[in-house]
Amino acid sequence: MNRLGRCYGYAGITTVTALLLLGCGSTKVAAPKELIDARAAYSSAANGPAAQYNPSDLHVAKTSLDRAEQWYAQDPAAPETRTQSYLALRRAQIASAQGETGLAIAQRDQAQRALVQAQAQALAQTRADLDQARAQLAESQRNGSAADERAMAVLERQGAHREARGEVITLPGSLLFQTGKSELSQTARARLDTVAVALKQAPDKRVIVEGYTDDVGTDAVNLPLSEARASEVRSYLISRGVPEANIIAKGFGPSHPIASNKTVEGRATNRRVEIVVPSGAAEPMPEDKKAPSQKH
Amino acid sequence: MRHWRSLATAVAVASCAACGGYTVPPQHVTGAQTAIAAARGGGADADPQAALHLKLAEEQYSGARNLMSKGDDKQADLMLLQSQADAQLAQSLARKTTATAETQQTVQQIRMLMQTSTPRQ
Repeated sequence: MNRLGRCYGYAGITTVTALLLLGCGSTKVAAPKELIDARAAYSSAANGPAAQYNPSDLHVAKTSLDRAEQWYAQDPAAPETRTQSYLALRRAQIASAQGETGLAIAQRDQAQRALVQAQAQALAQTRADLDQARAQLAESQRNGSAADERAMAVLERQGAHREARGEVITLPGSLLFQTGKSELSQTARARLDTVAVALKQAPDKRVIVEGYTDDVGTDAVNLPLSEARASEVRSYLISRGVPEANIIAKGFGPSHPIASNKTVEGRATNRRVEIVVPSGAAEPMPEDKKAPSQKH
Repeated sequence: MRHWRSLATAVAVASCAACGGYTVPPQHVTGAQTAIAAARGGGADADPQAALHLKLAEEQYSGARNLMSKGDDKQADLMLLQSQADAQLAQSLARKTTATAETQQTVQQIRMLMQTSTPRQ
């Protein structure tokens, strides 16, 4: 009985010891942080663009993770387990980055194709616009030339003559103004009406109205008088529809006589207003109205 | 007495095996070096996230060399593997940043082209 009791006693101790040992053996060592992170990183990579754009790196990441899991199962506390987990984490992150790179490249390629297409469309549109502008310019030039020719023909019928500086209509002062005055006479208005009609046919033409006097009196009188007469003619032409921006007035006083001031007839000829239509299209008018240094 | 002598011999042999029995494979050293150089050449310095991993790679490589000089090749080898992985990740991140920037640039070009083009009737 005593021996039997001791046998039970030994058996009990052995069982307890075995259970304790089993208990110790089944205690799971917690997975290293790197392995936990690697699992999450692989899961993220597998559900991201890597699956479509970079399956090979994703496969490498999976193999690396499996190796880390094996190390963890065999020897959770070994330095190799931690290192293999670290490598698995990096492989998963690389797969993820490479997948996103693949996606970005695909999007870039798509955008570049769209850009090429958009550039081609823009180029075609620009060419079409250019062709249209050229056609409009040619049409405008044809129309302008025709209008100019018509205008010049009318001006020449009004007594204009062609000089190097353009078409010139000379209006005798006696026809336009009374001596010493600058108000237009009724005859002058009728004459200027026909000139205005001709000028309106070429609206892009520049017009210069030049006033001249004889040499009787001082420059202090003659110069302002010539300017006032030229301005009066200019204002009248504008009132008849000649574009204001295209027409200027200048006074030259007794300078540039076209006849002798020693005779009555010559002085009458020199008292005049000249309407000059320079060759070519209108250019911006100068602000100042200084007399040109050389004329005729 | 004989037993003690045998045990000491066994311990000494085991110790020697632990210290000098493992040598870092040369390709692990060059692998880390090459990966670091490739990451730097790929512009990892210019991208903050990539630069971080490049720095980690360089530090681990330096640590591995230090361990090798002390004879701890086993630990050094593990550190070299980690260094190489970090350098490769740095290069991948730099490449991703470049590709993303190129995409954004192209999209921006399209937007500008669309804005400058006048819609035609």
